[in-house]
Amino acid sequence: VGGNAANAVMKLAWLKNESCWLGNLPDHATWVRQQLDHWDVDYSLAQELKQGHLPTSFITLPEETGSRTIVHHRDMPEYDAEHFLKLDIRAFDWLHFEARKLVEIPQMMSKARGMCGIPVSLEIEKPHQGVEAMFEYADVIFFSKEYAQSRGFSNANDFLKAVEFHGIATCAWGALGAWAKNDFGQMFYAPAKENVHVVDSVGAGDVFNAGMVDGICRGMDVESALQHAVLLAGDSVEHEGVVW
Amino acid sequence: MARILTIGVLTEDIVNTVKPTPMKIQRYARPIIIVAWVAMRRMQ
Repeated sequence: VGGNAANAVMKLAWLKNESCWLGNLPDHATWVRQQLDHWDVDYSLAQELKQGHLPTSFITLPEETGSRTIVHHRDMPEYDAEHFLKLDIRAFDWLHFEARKLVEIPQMMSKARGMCGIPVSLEIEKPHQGVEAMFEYADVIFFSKEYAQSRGFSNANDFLKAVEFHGIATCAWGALGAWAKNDFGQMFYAPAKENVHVVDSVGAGDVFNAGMVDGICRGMDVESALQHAVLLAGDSVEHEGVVW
Repeated sequence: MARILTIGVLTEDIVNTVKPTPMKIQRYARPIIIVAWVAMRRMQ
């Protein structure tokens, strides 16, 4: 099983949180259901679709360079706000979204945060046009290195200081470690784990995000949550998959 | 224990790990290819 939100939810379940995944699921995806059941991820709220197939990512990992080439195929529609707005989400302590090319995501985030008062985190991986419009609906944003570079920054520290977002923000920078900013603009840094034998780097960013959410939900301050997330991501690259 | 909902895409990942070409092959492959290519050109 893969996909950013799916990797994050699997890790959150692995960290003993009551974890639920929401999105579109084809009604014939038996293998995926078995995986989610195995790792104790609740998918009862997911929207079952009769058309389309489970999106597939073919990932090539050269052992020599550690780079990743992903060929992605999907014919299933994106998860829509119409389904989300009908759900009762008041029982949740935290909602985590991935920023996709979807104008409906702010609607969903707005319901969670504004109507229900639930903290919302947002992962910004790709520099999609207009993604900044989602910032105001998030309490926590996980920015990617790719996004920071697309805005002309060559390091996470300068990017986080400059970005116009006043909640908690993080930016992981691979082997250099990760940076975070709290609500008051105070900066923190956590170095990456040393002497790591990289086995599989796929999903390490999702594990980092899950670690931040887990840490904050456990009452850690931003600095401790950042250290917790970096350690988890470092452990993750030494294993195949995000859970084991 | 927190109750957390994540919203997004779930995919099936098919991961293919590519091992580096062994050093012996890296060392000998290029001269062998060059010799073979030159030989073919001469035969033509």
